[in-house]
Amino acid sequence: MVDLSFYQLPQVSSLPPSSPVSPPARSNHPMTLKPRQPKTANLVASTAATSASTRVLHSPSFEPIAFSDADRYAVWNNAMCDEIAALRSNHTWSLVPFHSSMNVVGSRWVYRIKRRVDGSIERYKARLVARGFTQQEGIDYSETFSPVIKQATVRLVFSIAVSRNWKIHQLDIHNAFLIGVLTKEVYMKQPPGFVDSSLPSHVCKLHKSLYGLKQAPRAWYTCLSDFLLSIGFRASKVDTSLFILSDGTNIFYLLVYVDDILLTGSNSAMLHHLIQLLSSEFKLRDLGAFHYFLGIEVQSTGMGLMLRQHKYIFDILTRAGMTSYKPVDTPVSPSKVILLPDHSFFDPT
Amino acid sequence: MHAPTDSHWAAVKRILRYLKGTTSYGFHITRGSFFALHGFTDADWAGSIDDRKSTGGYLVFFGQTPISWKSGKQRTVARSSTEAEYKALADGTAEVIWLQYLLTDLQVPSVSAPTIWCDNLGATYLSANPIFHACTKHVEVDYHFVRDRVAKKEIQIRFVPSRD
Repeated sequence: MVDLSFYQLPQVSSLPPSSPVSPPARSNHPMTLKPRQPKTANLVASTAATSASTRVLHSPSFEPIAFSDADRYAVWNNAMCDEIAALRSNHTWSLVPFHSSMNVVGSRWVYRIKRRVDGSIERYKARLVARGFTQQEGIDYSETFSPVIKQATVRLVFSIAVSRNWKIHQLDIHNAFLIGVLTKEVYMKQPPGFVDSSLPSHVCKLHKSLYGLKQAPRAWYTCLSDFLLSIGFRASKVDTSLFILSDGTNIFYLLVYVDDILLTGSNSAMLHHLIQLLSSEFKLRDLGAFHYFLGIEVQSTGMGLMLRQHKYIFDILTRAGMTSYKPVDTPVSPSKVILLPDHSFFDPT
Repeated sequence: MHAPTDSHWAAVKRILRYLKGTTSYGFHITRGSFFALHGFTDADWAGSIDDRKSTGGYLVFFGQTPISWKSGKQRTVARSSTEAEYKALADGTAEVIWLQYLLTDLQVPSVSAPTIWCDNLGATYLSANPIFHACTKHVEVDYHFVRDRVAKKEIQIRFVPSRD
């Protein structure tokens, strides 16, 4: 399994089960949340203006865990205001009165500092995530399975593309998990710090998907798949994350790994047309010739493509504190044998 | 792994040290003109001293490029080395057939039926011969699966001596 954590993995699985500082999600008391500074939606702009007097202005270099830590800083506050504005323009939710029959999931902020290659700070990013682990199957979600591309398929498509001199484009979908449309009714507490003061006991009825929801990956996949089928692609029967478009003379392959997309094909002019078609539906970036996909570094050589996992290995060794250890030639010691505690067979040879 | 011991910890650290030695390693996808699948399968016999299960594996190439591979302990105990090899052959066959479907989906015409190379003569005979050996009765399902595909000429099984 590849580690995707440094490749813009949506904050789903990395969400801690419960944060020690943020209030616990209690679905039967959805309104226990008491943010320090409740703000109304139309005050978003004015709070940014008044923050100069009350908030710390210097740029912190750490990623806070709790809302109360982040709210002290102007940069993090601005980042949260940006996220709320984006969700609002996306019509992610509408406020509805709370009813005791609703299963209301909590929400929390995740703060990330995006850095440039040289380590300097590019921007502060605040992501609102739903505490999807309090969702109940059958009530606010049903299907969660989202197919991912198989590694063998990736290698086979790379091999075909390299042999035929096709260019491989990598497309990055912006906020993929916010695009999916929800089919089940999902209710969420108003975000910490952004509780509508005129309707404080209302809850958010979600129309679109949010990071953290159990059905977020599937909702996105369904949305993308529907669009691809509508423009003429067909899903492969043997790997459902592979989409194929063929018009008799030209053929195009599209590989989906959550919000990472690889696109290649026999006609470069039509490839660009396809990318334009996709960007008319989804906000995306064409990263061009790709260098980094699913934790794998890709280098073009005269003979083809070289795939390496140098950074991935280095990250594992750093996490284990073993960067200065001496390397060995074999993964297992040929002489030392590990036995089961109740070793009951003997070696007959 | 519910009761790990110091020896397991040492083994894990050794894997990481091995990983460190492979940082400069890479996987080369080379330009080729020969669009055909071919695979290799192999197995040991009763390699696990804990439960006597065998380890089998396969490696499938597309032209010059390795596409898919697996090595793992077999689910059931094999009564002979031929049986262990035959189970590996069945796993390899399943993978090759899946890849062949994928190539059809990708509209890549195949030049010839994929070949699987196996270093056990007994296993290659089993894949072709309709003779039902008493000692292989219990591997009936795998047996019919591979032989069915060979009979339909979807794959070919060939023998390759181990030393090659």
